[in-house]
Amino acid sequence: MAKVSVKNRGNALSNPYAQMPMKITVGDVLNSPYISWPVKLFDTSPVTDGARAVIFAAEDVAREITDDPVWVRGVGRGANSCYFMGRRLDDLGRLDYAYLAARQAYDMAGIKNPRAVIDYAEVYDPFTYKEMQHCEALGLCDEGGAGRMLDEGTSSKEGKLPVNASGGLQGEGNPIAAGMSRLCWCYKMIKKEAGDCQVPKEVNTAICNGWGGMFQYSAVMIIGRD
Amino acid sequence: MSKDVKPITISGEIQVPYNFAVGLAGSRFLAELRDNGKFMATKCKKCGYVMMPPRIFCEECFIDDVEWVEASSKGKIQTFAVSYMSPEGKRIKDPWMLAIVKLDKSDGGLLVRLDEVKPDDVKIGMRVEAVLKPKNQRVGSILDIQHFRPVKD
Repeated sequence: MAKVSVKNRGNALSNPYAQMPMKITVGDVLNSPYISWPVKLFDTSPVTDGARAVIFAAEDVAREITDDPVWVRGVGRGANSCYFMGRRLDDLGRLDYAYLAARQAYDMAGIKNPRAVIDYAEVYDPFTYKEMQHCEALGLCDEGGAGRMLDEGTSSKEGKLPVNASGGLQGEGNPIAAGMSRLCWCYKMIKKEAGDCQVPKEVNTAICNGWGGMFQYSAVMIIGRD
Repeated sequence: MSKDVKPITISGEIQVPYNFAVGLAGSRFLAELRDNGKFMATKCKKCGYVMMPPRIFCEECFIDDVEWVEASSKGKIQTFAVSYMSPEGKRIKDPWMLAIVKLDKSDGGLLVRLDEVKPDDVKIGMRVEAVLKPKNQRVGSILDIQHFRPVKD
Protein backbone atom coordinates (compact mmCIF):
# COMPACT_ATOMS: atom_id res chain seq x y z
CA MET A 1 0.00 0.00 0.00
CA ALA A 2 2.75 2.42 1.00
CA LYS A 3 4.50 1.89 -2.34
CA VAL A 4 1.40 3.17 -4.17
CA SER A 5 1.55 6.36 -2.11
CA VAL A 6 5.27 6.85 -2.77
CA LYS A 7 4.84 6.19 -6.52
CA ASN A 8 1.80 8.37 -7.04
CA ARG A 9 2.69 11.33 -4.85
CA GLY A 10 6.11 11.24 -6.45
CA ASN A 11 4.53 11.23 -9.92
CA ALA A 12 2.43 14.20 -8.83
CA LEU A 13 5.59 16.32 -8.49
CA SER A 14 5.37 16.63 -12.30
CA ASN A 15 1.65 17.46 -12.27
CA PRO A 16 0.87 21.21 -12.23
CA TYR A 17 -2.68 20.47 -11.01
CA ALA A 18 -1.61 18.27 -8.12
CA GLN A 19 -2.68 19.07 -4.58
CA MET A 20 -0.37 16.59 -2.83
CA PRO A 21 2.88 16.28 -4.72
CA MET A 22 5.26 14.71 -2.22
CA LYS A 23 8.73 13.22 -2.24
CA ILE A 24 8.29 10.56 0.43
CA THR A 25 9.52 7.10 1.38
CA VAL A 26 7.74 3.94 2.38
CA GLY A 27 8.92 4.69 5.91
CA ASP A 28 7.21 8.09 5.80
CA VAL A 29 3.94 6.44 4.85
CA LEU A 30 4.21 3.73 7.48
CA ASN A 31 5.05 6.30 10.15
CA SER A 32 2.04 8.48 9.36
CA PRO A 33 -0.84 8.28 11.85
CA TYR A 34 -3.72 5.85 11.40
CA ILE A 35 -7.00 7.18 10.07
CA SER A 36 -8.75 3.84 10.44
CA TRP A 37 -6.63 0.71 10.66
CA PRO A 38 -5.08 -0.36 8.40
CA VAL A 39 -5.37 2.89 6.47
CA LYS A 40 -2.95 5.68 7.39
CA LEU A 41 -2.88 9.38 6.63
CA PHE A 42 -0.53 8.95 3.67
CA ASP A 43 -2.68 6.14 2.28
CA THR A 44 -5.51 8.64 1.98
CA SER A 45 -6.17 11.23 -0.68
CA PRO A 46 -7.05 14.75 0.48
CA VAL A 47 -10.36 16.62 0.33
CA THR A 48 -10.21 18.59 -2.89
CA ASP A 49 -12.09 21.03 -5.07
CA GLY A 50 -11.58 20.57 -8.76
CA ALA A 51 -13.20 20.29 -12.15
CA ARG A 52 -12.53 18.69 -15.51
CA ALA A 53 -14.26 19.06 -18.87
CA VAL A 54 -14.27 16.70 -21.81
CA ILE A 55 -15.77 17.29 -25.25
CA PHE A 56 -17.01 14.30 -27.19
CA ALA A 57 -17.72 14.40 -30.90
CA ALA A 58 -19.64 12.10 -33.22
CA GLU A 59 -17.58 9.97 -35.60
CA ASP A 60 -18.07 12.10 -38.69
CA VAL A 61 -17.49 15.34 -36.81
CA ALA A 62 -14.35 13.96 -35.15
CA ARG A 63 -12.77 13.13 -38.51
CA GLU A 64 -13.51 16.63 -39.74
CA ILE A 65 -11.88 18.44 -36.88
CA THR A 66 -8.76 16.31 -36.40
CA ASP A 67 -6.50 13.89 -38.26
CA ASP A 68 -5.72 12.09 -35.02
CA PRO A 69 -8.96 11.32 -33.24
CA VAL A 70 -8.92 9.46 -29.96
CA TRP A 71 -11.93 7.16 -29.77
CA VAL A 72 -13.99 5.83 -26.94
CA ARG A 73 -13.36 2.12 -27.54
CA GLY A 74 -15.23 0.62 -24.63
CA VAL A 75 -17.38 1.56 -21.68
CA GLY A 76 -18.52 -0.51 -18.75
CA ARG A 77 -20.32 0.02 -15.51
CA GLY A 78 -21.00 -2.22 -12.55
CA ALA A 79 -22.71 -1.85 -9.23
CA ASN A 80 -23.26 -3.95 -6.15
CA SER A 81 -25.87 -3.49 -3.44
CA CYS A 82 -25.93 -0.10 -1.74
CA TYR A 83 -26.57 -2.03 1.44
CA PHE A 84 -23.00 -2.90 2.32
CA MET A 85 -24.21 -5.24 5.01
CA GLY A 86 -26.32 -7.06 2.48
CA ARG A 87 -23.65 -7.76 -0.12
CA ARG A 88 -23.60 -11.39 -1.02
CA LEU A 89 -19.90 -11.79 -1.43
CA ASP A 90 -17.58 -14.45 -0.25
CA ASP A 91 -14.76 -11.93 -0.37
CA LEU A 92 -15.67 -8.38 0.65
CA GLY A 93 -12.30 -7.29 -0.71
CA ARG A 94 -12.96 -8.47 -4.26
CA LEU A 95 -14.63 -5.79 -6.35
CA ASP A 96 -17.01 -8.00 -8.33
CA TYR A 97 -18.74 -4.91 -9.72
CA ALA A 98 -15.42 -3.55 -11.03
CA TYR A 99 -14.53 -6.84 -12.71
CA LEU A 100 -17.96 -6.68 -14.35
CA ALA A 101 -17.46 -3.10 -15.53
CA ALA A 102 -14.03 -3.96 -16.94
CA ARG A 103 -15.35 -6.99 -18.82
CA GLN A 104 -18.12 -4.89 -20.39
CA ALA A 105 -15.57 -2.32 -21.54
CA TYR A 106 -13.16 -4.92 -22.90
CA ASP A 107 -15.99 -6.75 -24.71
CA MET A 108 -17.16 -3.51 -26.31
CA ALA A 109 -13.58 -2.69 -27.34
CA GLY A 110 -13.01 -6.19 -28.67
CA ILE A 111 -10.00 -6.65 -26.40
CA LYS A 112 -9.38 -10.23 -25.38
CA ASN A 113 -5.93 -9.84 -23.84
CA PRO A 114 -5.83 -6.56 -21.91
CA ARG A 115 -2.16 -6.76 -20.98
CA ALA A 116 -1.18 -7.11 -24.65
CA VAL A 117 -3.23 -4.08 -25.74
CA ILE A 118 -3.44 -1.59 -22.87
CA ASP A 119 -0.45 0.75 -22.89
CA TYR A 120 -1.38 2.94 -19.98
CA ALA A 121 -3.85 3.13 -17.08
CA GLU A 122 -5.26 5.70 -14.72
CA VAL A 123 -7.16 4.03 -11.90
CA TYR A 124 -9.12 5.47 -9.02
CA ASP A 125 -6.91 5.55 -5.90
CA PRO A 126 -8.53 7.58 -3.10
CA PHE A 127 -6.86 5.05 -0.82
CA THR A 128 -3.68 3.26 -1.79
CA TYR A 129 -5.21 -0.20 -1.70
CA LYS A 130 -7.84 0.94 -4.24
CA GLU A 131 -5.15 1.24 -6.93
CA MET A 132 -4.26 -2.38 -6.22
CA GLN A 133 -7.87 -3.59 -6.24
CA HIS A 134 -8.63 -1.70 -9.44
CA CYS A 135 -5.51 -2.94 -11.27
CA GLU A 136 -6.63 -6.48 -10.50
CA ALA A 137 -10.26 -5.85 -11.43
CA LEU A 138 -9.20 -4.25 -14.73
CA GLY A 139 -7.06 -7.30 -15.52
CA LEU A 140 -3.84 -5.28 -15.61
CA CYS A 141 -2.30 -7.97 -13.44
CA ASP A 142 -3.33 -11.36 -12.06
CA GLU A 143 -5.82 -11.46 -9.22
CA GLY A 144 -3.65 -11.09 -6.14
CA GLY A 145 -0.80 -9.74 -8.29
CA ALA A 146 -1.09 -6.03 -7.65
CA GLY A 147 1.69 -6.04 -5.08
CA ARG A 148 4.03 -7.73 -7.56
CA MET A 149 3.06 -5.16 -10.18
CA LEU A 150 4.47 -2.48 -7.86
CA ASP A 151 7.50 -4.45 -6.69
CA GLU A 152 8.52 -5.28 -10.27
CA GLY A 153 8.16 -1.65 -11.37
CA THR A 154 5.55 -2.56 -13.98
CA SER A 155 3.25 0.29 -12.92
CA SER A 156 5.95 2.93 -12.51
CA LYS A 157 6.22 5.81 -14.95
CA GLU A 158 8.95 4.01 -16.93
CA GLY A 159 7.39 0.60 -16.54
CA LYS A 160 5.76 -1.80 -18.96
CA LEU A 161 2.24 -0.73 -17.97
CA PRO A 162 2.41 2.63 -16.17
CA VAL A 163 -0.41 3.38 -13.76
CA ASN A 164 -1.27 6.88 -12.53
CA ALA A 165 1.74 8.75 -13.88
CA SER A 166 -0.36 11.84 -13.17
CA GLY A 167 -0.24 11.05 -9.47
CA GLY A 168 -3.75 9.63 -9.33
CA LEU A 169 -5.97 10.76 -6.48
CA GLN A 170 -3.17 10.24 -3.99
CA GLY A 171 -1.20 13.01 -5.65
CA GLU A 172 -3.72 15.05 -7.59
CA GLY A 173 -6.57 15.06 -5.11
CA ASN A 174 -10.07 13.72 -4.71
CA PRO A 175 -12.70 16.06 -6.13
CA ILE A 176 -15.89 14.70 -7.71
CA ALA A 177 -14.05 15.29 -11.01
CA ALA A 178 -11.41 12.72 -10.06
CA GLY A 179 -12.85 10.08 -12.37
CA MET A 180 -12.99 12.53 -15.25
CA SER A 181 -9.43 13.55 -14.49
CA ARG A 182 -8.29 9.95 -15.01
CA LEU A 183 -9.87 10.05 -18.46
CA CYS A 184 -8.23 13.39 -19.23
CA TRP A 185 -4.79 12.09 -18.29
CA CYS A 186 -5.28 8.99 -20.46
CA TYR A 187 -6.06 11.30 -23.38
CA LYS A 188 -3.03 13.49 -22.63
CA MET A 189 -0.76 10.45 -22.54
CA ILE A 190 -2.05 9.24 -25.91
CA LYS A 191 -1.60 12.69 -27.47
CA LYS A 192 1.79 13.26 -25.80
CA GLU A 193 0.34 16.35 -24.09
CA ALA A 194 1.03 15.24 -20.52
CA GLY A 195 3.96 17.59 -20.00
CA ASP A 196 6.39 16.39 -17.35
CA CYS A 197 4.03 13.54 -16.48
CA GLN A 198 4.45 12.04 -19.96
CA VAL A 199 5.50 8.40 -19.88
CA PRO A 200 8.41 7.40 -22.14
CA LYS A 201 6.55 4.58 -23.95
CA GLU A 202 4.13 4.96 -26.85
CA VAL A 203 0.52 5.08 -25.69
CA ASN A 204 -2.16 4.17 -28.21
CA THR A 205 -4.74 2.53 -25.95
CA ALA A 206 -5.44 3.55 -22.38
CA ILE A 207 -7.93 2.53 -19.71
CA CYS A 208 -9.35 4.46 -16.79
CA ASN A 209 -11.86 3.81 -14.04
CA GLY A 210 -13.85 5.60 -11.41
CA TRP A 211 -15.32 4.40 -8.11
CA GLY A 212 -18.19 5.88 -6.22
CA GLY A 213 -21.82 5.67 -5.29
CA MET A 214 -22.07 4.02 -1.91
CA PHE A 215 -18.60 2.54 -2.49
CA GLN A 216 -20.21 -0.05 -4.74
CA TYR A 217 -20.03 1.43 -8.19
CA SER A 218 -17.35 1.45 -10.83
CA ALA A 219 -17.23 2.77 -14.35
CA VAL A 220 -14.49 1.87 -16.82
CA MET A 221 -13.59 3.55 -20.09
CA ILE A 222 -11.09 2.49 -22.74
CA ILE A 223 -9.89 5.09 -25.24
CA GLY A 224 -7.45 4.84 -28.11
CA ARG A 225 -6.40 5.60 -31.61
CA ASP A 226 -7.66 3.77 -34.66
CA MET B 1 -9.06 49.23 -4.22
CA SER B 2 -5.93 47.72 -2.74
CA LYS B 3 -4.88 44.51 -4.39
CA ASP B 4 -3.45 43.25 -1.12
CA VAL B 5 -6.75 42.41 0.61
CA LYS B 6 -6.50 38.88 1.98
CA PRO B 7 -9.52 36.71 1.21
CA ILE B 8 -11.87 36.40 4.15
CA THR B 9 -13.58 33.13 4.96
CA ILE B 10 -16.30 32.55 7.51
CA SER B 11 -16.42 29.13 9.19
CA GLY B 12 -19.45 27.56 10.71
CA GLU B 13 -21.45 24.39 11.03
CA ILE B 14 -24.79 23.71 9.48
CA GLN B 15 -27.28 21.74 11.54
CA VAL B 16 -29.23 19.17 9.60
CA PRO B 17 -32.23 18.01 11.67
CA TYR B 18 -33.92 14.97 10.19
CA ASN B 19 -36.55 12.29 10.68
CA PHE B 20 -35.54 8.94 9.32
CA ALA B 21 -38.25 6.36 8.72
CA VAL B 22 -36.66 2.94 9.17
CA GLY B 23 -39.39 1.29 7.11
CA LEU B 24 -41.46 -1.85 7.54
CA ALA B 25 -38.61 -4.29 8.05
CA GLY B 26 -36.57 -1.88 10.11
CA SER B 27 -39.48 -1.12 12.40
CA ARG B 28 -40.12 -4.78 13.18
CA PHE B 29 -36.38 -5.41 13.63
CA LEU B 30 -36.01 -2.58 16.14
CA ALA B 31 -39.29 -3.38 17.94
CA GLU B 32 -38.22 -7.00 18.48
CA LEU B 33 -34.82 -5.79 19.66
CA ARG B 34 -36.42 -3.35 22.10
CA ASP B 35 -39.19 -5.56 23.45
CA ASN B 36 -37.71 -9.06 23.28
CA GLY B 37 -33.98 -8.62 22.83
CA LYS B 38 -34.24 -10.70 19.65
CA PHE B 39 -32.45 -10.32 16.31
CA MET B 40 -35.06 -10.87 13.60
CA ALA B 41 -34.18 -11.51 9.96
CA THR B 42 -36.18 -12.00 6.78
CA LYS B 43 -35.85 -15.04 4.56
CA CYS B 44 -36.54 -14.84 0.84
CA LYS B 45 -39.03 -17.56 -0.05
CA LYS B 46 -37.47 -18.03 -3.48
CA CYS B 47 -33.71 -18.22 -2.89
CA GLY B 48 -33.68 -18.89 0.83
CA TYR B 49 -31.23 -16.09 1.61
CA VAL B 50 -31.70 -14.87 5.19
CA MET B 51 -31.27 -11.11 5.24
CA MET B 52 -29.68 -9.45 8.22
CA PRO B 53 -30.47 -6.61 8.60
CA PRO B 54 -33.93 -7.68 7.45
CA ARG B 55 -35.49 -6.25 4.32
CA ILE B 56 -38.91 -6.67 2.78
CA PHE B 57 -37.34 -7.06 -0.64
CA CYS B 58 -34.86 -9.63 -1.96
CA GLU B 59 -32.32 -7.89 -4.20
CA GLU B 60 -31.34 -11.10 -5.98
CA CYS B 61 -34.84 -12.31 -6.83
CA PHE B 62 -36.52 -8.92 -7.13
CA ILE B 63 -39.47 -10.13 -5.07
CA ASP B 64 -40.98 -9.09 -1.78
CA ASP B 65 -42.08 -12.53 -0.66
CA VAL B 66 -40.24 -12.98 2.60
CA GLU B 67 -40.87 -14.62 5.96
CA TRP B 68 -39.57 -13.50 9.34
CA VAL B 69 -37.10 -15.78 11.11
CA GLU B 70 -35.07 -15.38 14.26
CA ALA B 71 -31.28 -15.10 14.00
CA SER B 72 -28.84 -15.62 16.81
CA SER B 73 -27.36 -12.83 18.93
CA LYS B 74 -23.96 -14.46 18.35
CA GLY B 75 -21.92 -14.56 15.21
CA LYS B 76 -18.52 -14.10 13.66
CA ILE B 77 -16.60 -11.04 12.50
CA GLN B 78 -16.46 -10.74 8.70
CA THR B 79 -14.44 -7.56 8.73
CA PHE B 80 -13.64 -4.71 11.06
CA ALA B 81 -12.12 -1.27 11.31
CA VAL B 82 -10.22 0.49 14.06
CA SER B 83 -10.92 4.17 13.71
CA TYR B 84 -8.82 7.00 15.05
CA MET B 85 -11.38 9.56 13.93
CA SER B 86 -14.50 10.25 15.99
CA PRO B 87 -17.93 10.18 14.32
CA GLU B 88 -17.68 13.98 14.35
CA GLY B 89 -14.49 13.80 12.31
CA LYS B 90 -12.09 14.73 15.08
CA ARG B 91 -8.86 12.88 15.69
CA ILE B 92 -8.98 10.74 18.84
CA LYS B 93 -6.24 9.00 20.76
CA ASP B 94 -8.15 5.87 21.82
CA PRO B 95 -9.68 4.31 18.75
CA TRP B 96 -13.17 2.92 18.50
CA MET B 97 -13.99 -0.20 16.55
CA LEU B 98 -16.68 -1.22 14.14
CA ALA B 99 -17.27 -4.68 12.76
CA ILE B 100 -19.56 -6.41 10.32
CA VAL B 101 -20.81 -9.47 12.13
CA LYS B 102 -22.48 -12.41 10.42
CA LEU B 103 -25.00 -13.55 12.99
CA ASP B 104 -25.58 -17.29 13.23
CA LYS B 105 -28.72 -18.43 11.39
CA SER B 106 -28.52 -15.51 8.96
CA ASP B 107 -26.62 -14.75 5.77
CA GLY B 108 -26.09 -11.02 5.92
CA GLY B 109 -23.92 -8.93 8.19
CA LEU B 110 -24.76 -6.41 10.89
CA LEU B 111 -22.64 -3.30 11.37
CA VAL B 112 -21.90 -3.00 15.09
CA ARG B 113 -19.46 -1.50 17.56
CA LEU B 114 -16.88 -3.76 19.15
CA ASP B 115 -15.82 -3.40 22.74
CA GLU B 116 -14.30 -5.37 25.64
CA VAL B 117 -11.45 -6.32 23.33
CA LYS B 118 -8.14 -4.71 22.38
CA PRO B 119 -7.69 -3.69 18.72
CA ASP B 120 -4.66 -5.96 18.36
CA ASP B 121 -6.70 -8.97 19.48
CA VAL B 122 -9.52 -8.57 16.96
CA LYS B 123 -9.43 -11.12 14.16
CA ILE B 124 -11.59 -11.83 11.15
CA GLY B 125 -13.61 -14.93 11.96
CA MET B 126 -13.62 -14.18 15.70
CA ARG B 127 -16.78 -15.28 17.48
CA VAL B 128 -18.65 -12.42 19.13
CA GLU B 129 -21.90 -11.90 21.02
CA ALA B 130 -24.28 -8.99 21.46
CA VAL B 131 -24.41 -6.86 24.61
CA LEU B 132 -27.77 -5.06 24.71
CA LYS B 133 -28.77 -2.18 26.92
CA PRO B 134 -30.97 -3.23 29.84
CA LYS B 135 -34.58 -3.57 28.68
CA ASN B 136 -35.79 -0.46 30.47
CA GLN B 137 -33.23 1.60 28.57
CA ARG B 138 -33.99 0.25 25.12
CA VAL B 139 -35.98 2.61 22.94
CA GLY B 140 -36.15 0.94 19.53
CA SER B 141 -32.88 2.30 18.19
CA ILE B 142 -29.89 0.46 16.74
CA LEU B 143 -28.06 1.87 19.75
CA ASP B 144 -30.09 -0.51 21.92
CA ILE B 145 -27.17 -2.72 20.94
CA GLN B 146 -24.35 -1.41 23.11
CA HIS B 147 -21.66 -3.39 21.37
CA PHE B 148 -20.45 -6.85 20.51
CA ARG B 149 -17.71 -8.57 22.48
CA PRO B 150 -15.69 -11.76 22.07
CA VAL B 151 -17.43 -14.89 23.23
CA LYS B 152 -15.88 -18.07 24.47
CA ASP B 153 -17.96 -20.70 22.72
